[in-house]
Amino acid sequence: MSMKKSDIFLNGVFRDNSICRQILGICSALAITNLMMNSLVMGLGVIWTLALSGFTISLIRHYMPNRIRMMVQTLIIASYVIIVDIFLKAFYPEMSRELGPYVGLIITNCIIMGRAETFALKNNPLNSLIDGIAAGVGYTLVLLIVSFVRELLGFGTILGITVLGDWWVSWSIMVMAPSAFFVLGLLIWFINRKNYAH
Amino acid sequence: MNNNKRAFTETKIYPIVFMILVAAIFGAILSVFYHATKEKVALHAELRLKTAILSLFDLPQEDVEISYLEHIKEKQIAGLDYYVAVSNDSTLGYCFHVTGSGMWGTITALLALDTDFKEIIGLTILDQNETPGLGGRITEEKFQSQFSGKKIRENQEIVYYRLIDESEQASELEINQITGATSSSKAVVDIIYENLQNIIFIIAEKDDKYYE
Repeated sequence: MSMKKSDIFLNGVFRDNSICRQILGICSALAITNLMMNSLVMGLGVIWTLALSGFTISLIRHYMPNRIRMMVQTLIIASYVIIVDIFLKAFYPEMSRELGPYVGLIITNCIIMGRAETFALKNNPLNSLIDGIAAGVGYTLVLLIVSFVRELLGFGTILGITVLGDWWVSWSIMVMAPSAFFVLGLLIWFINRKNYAH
Repeated sequence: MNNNKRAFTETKIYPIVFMILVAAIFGAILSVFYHATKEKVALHAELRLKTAILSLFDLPQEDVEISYLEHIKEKQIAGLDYYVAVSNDSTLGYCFHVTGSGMWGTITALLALDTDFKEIIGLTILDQNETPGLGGRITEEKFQSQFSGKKIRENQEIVYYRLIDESEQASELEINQITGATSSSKAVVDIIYENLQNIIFIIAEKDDKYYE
């Protein structure tokens, strides 16, 4: 089974978007989308982890004993996540504190295990790398859309830059977790509305 | 050759060998990353600590290192490390490390006391592993600032602050707890109480002017 690389990429980003189509990775999408900067850094961390864990798992897929593959995958994923954590701690301590435990929780992000199990185990390393980047970009895009709405309405800013003037009364609900449900729910409905229209 | 390899991959120890090998490789990679960044991380932690101490006493933080050198003296008394804040030759107060167990892990904080050891100047939580969004809110300014100006002694006894509902009006010896995070709120109050016992005991022993 050979796939065009552009197809793998477009599938990952749009057609099979992990959050909107497969409803995976919701936990972090709800938790860290109150600021766009947090979402962007989280997204980059997930892209890195997805791409490299997919690549590594695909590389050793023929040697990996089937019964312990979950354990091996978790170990590989965890290692890449810890690298992200160390990197943030050393070079972006503010961001590291802001994201707090959510960086470590990338390990449990269902998208990563999902891509490893459904794609990396069956495809060559290069395709797995592309698939990982694509799934990560898809995830990041959704995070950025949700956080754009939440940050704009909740703080009146975009990426920390004030865009709405003093007349704007910030919606404090947008800063809190429940609003992520509303915004993400509306977004998923909007994207999938055609699928259910008869 | 191929047959041999096949045979080995089907033995019972192959998964164990495989797992150990993968763990060793990734463990080695991680330890290289960890050691390469260790100093940088420690430097950030030190800077953060200094900034936190300066801000507890409302001291200038434009240049943390210079301001810290000018205003803060590191001291030790009976094995207890503490910081003295000085401004224009007058002592502003003392700052102590306080620590204890929270709901999930250790909570460490800085506690600043006035020169008479009568009230709290401020509290800053440095590290905690409480539930994000619930217990994690103990780091919020709204919760921490409640401790500023609180009396720590009454009739020679250390005060144990009573926790009340978030919506109620707190009196002098009460603290508004965080809704949904009673354990974490209580942990902070306990940590202050227990550490104060120790701090006041040591201070009083060394210098009885603090117990009038």
